[in-house]
Amino acid sequence: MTTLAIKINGRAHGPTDVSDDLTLNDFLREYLGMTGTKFGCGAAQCLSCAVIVDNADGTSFTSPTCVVSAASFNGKSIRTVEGHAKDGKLSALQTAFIEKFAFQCGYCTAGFLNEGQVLLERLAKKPVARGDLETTIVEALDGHICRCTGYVKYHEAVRDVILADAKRYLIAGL
Amino acid sequence: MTSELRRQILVSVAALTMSVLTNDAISDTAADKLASPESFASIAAPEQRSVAYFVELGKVLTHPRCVNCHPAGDRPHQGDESRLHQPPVTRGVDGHGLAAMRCSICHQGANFDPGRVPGHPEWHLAPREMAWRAKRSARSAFRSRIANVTAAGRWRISSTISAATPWSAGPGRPGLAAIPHPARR
Amino acid sequence: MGVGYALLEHLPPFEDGPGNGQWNLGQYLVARGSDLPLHDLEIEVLPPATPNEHPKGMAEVVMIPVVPALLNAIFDATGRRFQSLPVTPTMLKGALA
Repeated sequence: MTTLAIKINGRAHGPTDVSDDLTLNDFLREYLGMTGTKFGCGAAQCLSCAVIVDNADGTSFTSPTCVVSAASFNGKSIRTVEGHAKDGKLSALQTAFIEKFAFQCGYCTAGFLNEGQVLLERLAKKPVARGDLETTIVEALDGHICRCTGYVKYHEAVRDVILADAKRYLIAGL
Repeated sequence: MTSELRRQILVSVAALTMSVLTNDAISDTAADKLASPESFASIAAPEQRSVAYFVELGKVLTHPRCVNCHPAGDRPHQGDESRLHQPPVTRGVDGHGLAAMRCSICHQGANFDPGRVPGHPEWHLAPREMAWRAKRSARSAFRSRIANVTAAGRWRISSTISAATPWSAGPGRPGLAAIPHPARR
Repeated sequence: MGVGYALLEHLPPFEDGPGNGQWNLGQYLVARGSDLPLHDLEIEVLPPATPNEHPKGMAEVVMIPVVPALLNAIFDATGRRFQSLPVTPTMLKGALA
């Protein structure tokens, strides 16, 4: 048993006593009832379980939750899909997903949202050239499997959010 | 080459083989068993004993699950059958993965059995120079290393088998328990 | 789905495959974004037959022509007709050799 104190979407949870065997996925879905994060393959292949982990230095990355222990997140700060909308207002990426009809059954969508959000934040810090944009998006989203859509509209949605704010995300003049 | 350094080399190599359980003589060892350190004592010349150690060591280093993370290309393999690693991760700039898929995100500091994911604080691809899963067979790569060893590079043995922590990959993955893994220098 | 069916989803029956109880998405390879020409697709939306026609989806039915289209493309490129699926990269290398 270990103690877990974790910040989720800006809100502190715990300290709770959790078993060392408990995955973060189970902690979110079963203990906290936050079922926006899904459980897909349980083998870090599909990334429908991915959440955003925020480092102290301001960088973020997505992490699967199905193969990592909840205890290893003690003291960390994560964001789940439930935390994207602020006061009921959807984020730019969420709006783009809806308008582009990017998802169908929705099971992979939380993962794609988290990954897309991390990509946007990373590009805001380190923009890329317009010519590299499509490859950058493919590399970022490639870990996520979607069975329904064929990925096209997910990629278009992310790309359009980036192009709509090109000054922030792309290297000017390239 | 001082005798002190030579002693250190032999000690470190012996320490490696010390971790094994069988008592078979060198010539009788099967592919999945390693010779005990004592069985090398019959080789008097230190240089030849080093070579014999290294050849025996080769059995460990050409094991599929070691070779999996020593690719010549950019993608690791996984499993005893050495299939391509899924999800399709790649070397990245520093051997630790792409920005969106760092090795350490899934492979954390220790094995996590409920997720069947092995872990170690130093989880990443070996540099391309250590590509044992190479264009030619791994065995011939080792034979050429042995030639280097006896010529001028005896120090190379100890440099590649430097301080290591025992690494066991978890349940269902037999054969690599308690074998020291070369840590990154 | 069609791309996976034609090129990736190798599924041996019984214990050679998922019948052994060990398979997951690491063995059963489905198409990922990098397997598809995401920016090279020409999507043609057909106009409705009548002005008041409701839009309809046809779900997985759309996959049916994808597989023969891919196999025809492979024949066009290599001169070889494959009769079993999936046509894996190894098989293609054999056809090109």
